[in-house]
Amino acid sequence: MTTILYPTRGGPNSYPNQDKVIELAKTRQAELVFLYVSDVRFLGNLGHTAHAPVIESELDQMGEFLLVMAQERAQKAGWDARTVVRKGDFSEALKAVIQEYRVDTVILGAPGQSKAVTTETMQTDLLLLLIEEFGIEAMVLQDGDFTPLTVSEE
Amino acid sequence: MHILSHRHRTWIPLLAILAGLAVFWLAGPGNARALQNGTFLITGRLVDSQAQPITAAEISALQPGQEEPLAEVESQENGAWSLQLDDLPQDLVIEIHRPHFDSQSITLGDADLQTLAETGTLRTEAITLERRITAGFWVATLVFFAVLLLIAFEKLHSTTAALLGASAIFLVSALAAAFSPSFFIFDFERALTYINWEVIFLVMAMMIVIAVIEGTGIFQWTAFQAYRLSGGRSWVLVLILILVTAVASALLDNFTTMLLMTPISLQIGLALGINPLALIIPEVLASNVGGITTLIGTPTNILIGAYADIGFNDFLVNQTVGVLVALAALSAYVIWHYRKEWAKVSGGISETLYERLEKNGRIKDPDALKKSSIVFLFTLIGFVLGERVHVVPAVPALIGATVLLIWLKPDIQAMIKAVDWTTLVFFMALFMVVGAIQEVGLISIAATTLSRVIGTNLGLGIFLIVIGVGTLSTAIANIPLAASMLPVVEFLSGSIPGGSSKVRYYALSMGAAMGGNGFLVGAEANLVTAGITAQAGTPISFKEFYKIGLPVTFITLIIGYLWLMIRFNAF
Repeated sequence: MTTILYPTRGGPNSYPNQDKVIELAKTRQAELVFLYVSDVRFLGNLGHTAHAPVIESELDQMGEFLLVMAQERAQKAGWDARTVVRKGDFSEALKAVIQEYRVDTVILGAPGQSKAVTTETMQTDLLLLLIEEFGIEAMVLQDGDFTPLTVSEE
Repeated sequence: MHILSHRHRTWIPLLAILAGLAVFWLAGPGNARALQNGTFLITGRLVDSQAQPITAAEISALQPGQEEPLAEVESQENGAWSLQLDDLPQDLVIEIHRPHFDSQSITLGDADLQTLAETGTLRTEAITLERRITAGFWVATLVFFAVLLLIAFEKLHSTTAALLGASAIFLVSALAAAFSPSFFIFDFERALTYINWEVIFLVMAMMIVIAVIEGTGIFQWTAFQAYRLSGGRSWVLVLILILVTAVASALLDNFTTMLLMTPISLQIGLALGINPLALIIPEVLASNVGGITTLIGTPTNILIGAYADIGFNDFLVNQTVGVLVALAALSAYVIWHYRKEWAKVSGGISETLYERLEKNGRIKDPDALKKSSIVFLFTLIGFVLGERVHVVPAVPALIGATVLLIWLKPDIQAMIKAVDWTTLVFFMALFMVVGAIQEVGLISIAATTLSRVIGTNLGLGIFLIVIGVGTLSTAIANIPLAASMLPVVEFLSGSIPGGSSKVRYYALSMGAAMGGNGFLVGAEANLVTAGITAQAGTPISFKEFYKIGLPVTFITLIIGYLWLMIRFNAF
């Protein structure tokens, strides 16, 4: 059984993409892992890092809640999903979870389409890096369509 | 209240007698002693052209043609000065020097010298010094506006911007000694006098108290209880959350309140199947308004309270009704604005989600909550009673913070880290930058111009401050705005009938806080809320915020203005 990893922010904007990923996992009979990564660096921009420990814990709880909602969507669609909440840098968290859960496919929602976590360039660079480093399948989900990324031979 | 008034009436004649005795002692035996000791006292007062006292002017007594002064002194906070001479020469010149003012040299006439010789004292009339626009004036003005722009356009962090401004002022002042004295603004010693340490210590102590309370889970528990109470009716829920947020913001601060209320509110909104921003944006609007009711509710109130000697009770008594009416109007508006959302309610959430919500909305540290609630209650009592014995709010706050540290024994390193030093340094540097424009006379010019527009019309003054500051505060960070407006308001309060009631300071408080609701960048509470909602894929766009924020701002500003007009009989 292969494993699909889908990082999500979990808001209403993510629901269509979550449904698509659930559908894909079901079609492929793959294990589905939803990932939420909290990042409190925005507090640093506001100059309020003193609150970071408390808000970090709150965001973790919020992430767990958002992923339970995603899990329930999967259950309603007749499929099971696992959830993982991590904190800190998104790329590092993603790499760690890929290794930990022996992920075969990573799917990222296209930036701008669903207020996704990364910009387009960042996302492409990251996915290409993941393909090279872990030899996994990487796809971008945009407007309901999955676009696989491949590393050029050159 | 009646008993207190009666007591005051009893004390007034007694105080008058004591004051009379003091004057008699100073004027009578003091003179005799002066003559006996062979000392002579010359006293006076320095004012500017707006009759405001001039502090830190150098006053020296010299014999004509001599460079070595017989006596030297600096003018005090109220502009008063007194020179003590051991001998009385035949001719005497009083020289007055103060940066950014024209110097004056006054030769005492025969009559003055005779009075001094006969009585040992000479009280001169108030001496007016004329302002001088120096190169330093333009430098300080440029630096001040540059700091405001750097903060407004987020080119630099606000603390860095304020520090840069203070450093630029010191650099120019230091170089002035080498090149042209005209560039001098003020020295470091003088700059320190502009730092309001009462503000620094009150903010620091409250940060420690809040650091303990924020970890207890009280905010999250309250939000979850609001959800239970509402019975799933989202419009009822938003009304309860508005009230809860406003009260929490008044007692703690709106930044922390929104930091902790946003994640749980977001979860509740998602669980209900509505746009969570329909709960969260009204909360942040309410937090900016609710904080106005107390001294510690907003940083601007802390500034205003310390500057104008307005206490915890004063804010509560003079602002609460106006704020409650403004909150009612705000609630009505948001209910109407989000009317489509209230119809979307999903009709129930799964048991798993409910359990998760309940878990996230539990009290995390009951012991810390119990102890911190007791200490916080006594701190509030300290604020209320302290005013009556002239204890500044920073004192009960510091005592409260210390008691918490001793009682709860938290990790002291963690507590020190919980103090937001960035904000404290920002305040200190900002006080210096605002001090610089006070020093060079920019504030004086602004105040004079404004007083010409307002004249003696108290209502117009209140209107211009509430609406003007409110409008500016939609885009300019309200802390530097309030800090720079305080000396202006002080001038207006002193020069216009009705100003003694401090109504203009309340107008500044309302304008600065309510204006923060206009745009997303108007208040730090707005930005932290947007930061958290973005973490849940529900970002608050600039447009989305101002579509509701701007109408609410002007509705609440008008209510605030009308309330102050009623409260202070300014119609």
